[in-house]
Amino acid sequence: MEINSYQINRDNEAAFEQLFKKHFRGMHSYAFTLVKDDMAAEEIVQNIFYKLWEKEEQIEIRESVSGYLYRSVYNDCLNYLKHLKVRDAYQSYAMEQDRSVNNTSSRLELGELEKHLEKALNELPEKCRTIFQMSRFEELRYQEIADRLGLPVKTIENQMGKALRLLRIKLADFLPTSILLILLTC
Amino acid sequence: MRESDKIDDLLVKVMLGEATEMESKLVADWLEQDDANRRYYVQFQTIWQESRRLMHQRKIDEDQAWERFKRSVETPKVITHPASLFRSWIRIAAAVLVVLGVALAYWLNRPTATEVLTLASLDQPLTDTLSDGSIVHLNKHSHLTYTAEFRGKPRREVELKGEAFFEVAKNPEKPFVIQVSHGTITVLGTSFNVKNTEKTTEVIVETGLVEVENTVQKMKVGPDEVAIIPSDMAPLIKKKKDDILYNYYFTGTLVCRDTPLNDIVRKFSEVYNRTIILTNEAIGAKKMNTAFDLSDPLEGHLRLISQTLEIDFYTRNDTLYLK
Repeated sequence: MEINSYQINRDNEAAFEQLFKKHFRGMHSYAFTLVKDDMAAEEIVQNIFYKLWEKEEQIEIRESVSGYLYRSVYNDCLNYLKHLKVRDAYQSYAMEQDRSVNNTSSRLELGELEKHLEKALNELPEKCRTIFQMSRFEELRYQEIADRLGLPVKTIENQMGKALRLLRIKLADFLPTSILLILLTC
Repeated sequence: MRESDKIDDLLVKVMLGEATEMESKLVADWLEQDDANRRYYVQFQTIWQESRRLMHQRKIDEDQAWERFKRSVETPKVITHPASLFRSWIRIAAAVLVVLGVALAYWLNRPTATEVLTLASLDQPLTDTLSDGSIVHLNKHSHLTYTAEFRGKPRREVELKGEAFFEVAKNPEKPFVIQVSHGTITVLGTSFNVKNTEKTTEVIVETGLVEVENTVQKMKVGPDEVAIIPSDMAPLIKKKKDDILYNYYFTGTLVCRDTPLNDIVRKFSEVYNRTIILTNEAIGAKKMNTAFDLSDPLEGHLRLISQTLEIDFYTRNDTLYLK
């Protein structure tokens, strides 16, 4: 049952609880892959639900509720990361001392790939990033993603194609070019 | 849509097992055509496999999360603002116990909208969140008074004695107003430090815009600026921020950039509660450029200073001397 968006706040606790439990895990997983911090991820998601809880006026959600929630996660996480950068400017000395360099030449290629993949992933546009998240990390089928976000399946297909295409372009330098190497590590 | 884009969509569908029989055949033919095509597909596969490693491994329990959420909406103090998290929040565990104890008391007493609450710190800095999501970091021996709920009021008002760093949640319709000794500070959404004594108040703005006011005048203060309210009747003073020695009490690090030893020693004695004496005035003016981790022992920092500035450091009767 899709909940009427105008009823989602503290006045309808049963419906709110249902919404919360349905989406919390997916939202938390998404937040975690963006901010890489368990506590931060939980607090960001809790905060999104808190704002919904407290809303006195009716919310105008022009899309599905899931879409709204996932978009909030994306935006709040990016804001959090931006804020961290400002604070990190004051701690630049301490951070330089912390960084440990671990380079063994045999591991180098794949380690670099992972690091750059993470960065490239978080640079995907919002809709693309969200759909990739739901497919890869929540392991949802295209139809399920389409239902949750209120989008046609064709859009999901396009966005997933776009995601892989963009990632491949950004990671071109780090992808091993030898097919043999890949088959051995599969 | 470009031809190449279409093949990308199909490749992913095949990879994920979403393709129809006809689409699978199309892809198989395409792979057959050229070595480069096979390489292209393998690159997609590599990315897909690698991305699995970035997945969040810990399973989160949504029922427990719901319980945590319910508790947080019923006590006014435990709501958090995403930008508030520092690694050093673990260091104020003692303060958190105090907050939990107080939260329990509130839960039992269910505060009404007009009830006035106090946030007070003793020997440790204390961080807390107000009901609008604003975060307050109190330095030692400081004191903040505020109403339990800001809902239904035209402004968000608090009163400060001592020193605190504020991160005010943005709300253009409801200005955040801080009462200090001889004036008020009005904010819309920003981060800044207020040091308030009986006589004067000093405001250092980190981000955003703050309006400072006393009976004589009103003044806007922006990022990297400092305002001083000397006393009730005197005009306000504004100057450029030249040090970063105000957020140390919640970041856990004292960052020094061309900072004179006088200031460093003053902050050290406050944080570590020790007496440090500079035996002559000349050394007080010497500058240091480094960051001190405040969880490390004081002697270590002083030893580093003595080495860097080529001065002597010794201890006598529990007092530390630099000469």
